[in-house]
Amino acid sequence: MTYPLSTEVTAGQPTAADQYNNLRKDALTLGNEAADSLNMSQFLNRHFEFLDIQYLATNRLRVPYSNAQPPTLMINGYLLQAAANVDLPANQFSGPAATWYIFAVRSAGSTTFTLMVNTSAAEATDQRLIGECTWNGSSVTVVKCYFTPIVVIPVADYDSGWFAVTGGTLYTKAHAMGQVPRMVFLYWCNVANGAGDTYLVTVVNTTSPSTNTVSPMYFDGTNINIKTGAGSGNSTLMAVTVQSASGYYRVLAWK
Amino acid sequence: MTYIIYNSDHTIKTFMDYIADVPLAPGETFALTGQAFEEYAARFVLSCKGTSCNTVYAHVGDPALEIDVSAPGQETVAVNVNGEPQTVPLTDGQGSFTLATDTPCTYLIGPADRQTFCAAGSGALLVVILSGENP
Repeated sequence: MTYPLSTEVTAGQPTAADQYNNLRKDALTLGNEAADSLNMSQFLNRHFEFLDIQYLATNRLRVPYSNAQPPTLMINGYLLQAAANVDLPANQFSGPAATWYIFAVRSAGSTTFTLMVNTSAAEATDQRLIGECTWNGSSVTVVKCYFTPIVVIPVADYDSGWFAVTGGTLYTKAHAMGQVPRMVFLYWCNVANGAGDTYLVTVVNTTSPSTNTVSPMYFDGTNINIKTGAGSGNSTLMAVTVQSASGYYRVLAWK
Repeated sequence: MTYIIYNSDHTIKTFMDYIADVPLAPGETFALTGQAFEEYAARFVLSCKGTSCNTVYAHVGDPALEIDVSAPGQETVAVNVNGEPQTVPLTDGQGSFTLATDTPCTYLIGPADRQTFCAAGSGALLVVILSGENP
């Protein structure tokens, strides 16, 4: 498609219907037919940027402001941006323990927004639901912003499964990732299927060539190698509460 | 199914659910058994006070330590203690033997027949007798 559809007019030139309509179409749908595109207001209706909610003493909430990343959102078709921290007034919570919902609120004559809380999650006109918090009857405890990205650890690119180990032995696993893993975790358990308490193995003890605490694992673009310690009760696991010279290992690795 | 990795001397090195990720060292071989991983792991289990794999620490003068052996389907099983085999009679696959605590030492326990049972995982146990009294 061609964008913009409209063209400049010269002074004194009458604005033709086509020119006006192209100009309107450019503004509303980036030059597209209405059947093929939402208009800009619809498209940006749930827009938000740089929005976070923090606890503010005592029993208050704050949307923090940053000059470089000002909290921005659209409410009821209005483009709003904070110019300073947006704080919930004091004494807004009361009653028994409950989940309270946090709203950004638009007011006529303002290009920023205010905050309000309610035990109902329903948005009224000029309100936008942005988070929730837990009121335990006397204090605000957990505060959650719905727009905070949630980071989930991806499934491992390599998973060895559990395998039996003992001291003084080299175990090699070909991870087939085609590159040196960026992150590798080694787990130990005393139950074959990993159903027991699981420990992260970082060091083991060895008495050969000398008594030392050593890292048992090394890896490259092809293999993950685990060389268990020898001659000690901590040759496969050296933890505060458990030591072992046998057990089961599992390796997880990520690209 | 469980894959069994054998050392070059035909003793069992380890066992696992799959083998595609295992580059065998020179002399190592593997075999496949129809038993599930947990079932294979349960063929020979050493434990002390209900726990396997965890290194057992005791002090000189403590009561003798009882080591439990499980080898389902067997009437006896030979256990290696610091290289010395001893036969443990089993009832319904379960038996036990004791270890003295009169001198500081380390007991490395595993199956005597390492071509049949694996001396890794739950099939190996280290017991350390420490000098001095138990605090």
